[in-house]
Amino acid sequence: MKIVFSILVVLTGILLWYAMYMALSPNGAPTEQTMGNVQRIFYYHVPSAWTAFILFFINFGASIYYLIKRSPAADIVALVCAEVGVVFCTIVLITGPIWARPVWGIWWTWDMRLTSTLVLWLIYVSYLFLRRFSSSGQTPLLAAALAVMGALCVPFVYFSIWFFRTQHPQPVMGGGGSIDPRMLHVLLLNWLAFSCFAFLVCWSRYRLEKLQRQVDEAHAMRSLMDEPRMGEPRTGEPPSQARSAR
Amino acid sequence: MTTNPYLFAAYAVTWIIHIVYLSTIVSRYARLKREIDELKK
Repeated sequence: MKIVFSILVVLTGILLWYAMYMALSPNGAPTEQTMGNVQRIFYYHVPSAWTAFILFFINFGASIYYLIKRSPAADIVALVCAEVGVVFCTIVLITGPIWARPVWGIWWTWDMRLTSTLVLWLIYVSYLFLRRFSSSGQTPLLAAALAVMGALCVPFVYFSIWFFRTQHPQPVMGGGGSIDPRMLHVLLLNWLAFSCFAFLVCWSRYRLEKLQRQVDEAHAMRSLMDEPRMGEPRTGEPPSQARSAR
Repeated sequence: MTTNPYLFAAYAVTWIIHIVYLSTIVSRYARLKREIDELKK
C-alpha cells in the first residue's frame, strides 16, 4: 500500500507541475485579450471550486450513510472531505478577490455568487468547529445533520449565477459561456491535477484520523484498566487502609 | 510572459495554503507516532 501511495504521490506531483506550466505558459493556454495574464488565475480558481464542491458532495453522501448505518468509516470520510473541502474553498475565496481587484476594480462585492460561497464556507467551518470542540457522544450525529443541510447550499452556489443577476462571469460549461478549446483543455488538466491531489490528501487524512481514533481508544482502555475496581485498593495504598476506609 | 503581481499572488497563496495544511497533517502524524510509542512501553 505504501508503494502505491508513493507512486501516486510522484505521479500527482508531475501532473500538478505540468498543469501549472500549461496554465502559466502562453504555449499552453493562450493569453486572454481583455484581461491579459491575470485571467490565468482562473486555472486555479475554478478547479479549486469544483474540487471543493465534489468533496462537499462526498461529505453529504457519507453523512447520509452515517445517519442510516452509523458506520464509523463513513463518519471519518465525511470529516476528511469537509476538512479538505474547506481548504479548497478557502483558496476559492482568496483567489477570487485577487482576480477581481484588477478586473472589476474592487476586491469584494456582496454579489449572490460571492456571498453564497462565503456562507457555504462558513457552514463547513462551523461543521469543523463542531467536530473539533464538542466532546458529546452525539457529535457525529449532529455533524452529519449539519452536513446534510450544508450540502443543500452547494447547488445554490453553483446555480446562483443563473438565477440572479451577478457580476460573476457565466459558468464555463453548460451556462451559455464560451471558452477557447485550448483554455478548456488547460482548465480540465488543472482540475484533474487538483482532484488527484485532493484524493491523496484525503487518503492521508483518513489514515491519520483512523489512527487517532485507535490511539484514543487505547488511552480509554488504559485508563479503564488503571481505575481500581470496587473494593480493590488504589495503586500504592496498603490493603489494610483500604479495608478501614470501607 | 511578464509577471503579473496578482497572478503571482494567487498562485503563491494557493500553494502556501496547501503546504501549511499538509504540514499540519505531517505534524499531527508525528505526534501520534510518539503517542503510540509511549503506549507500547
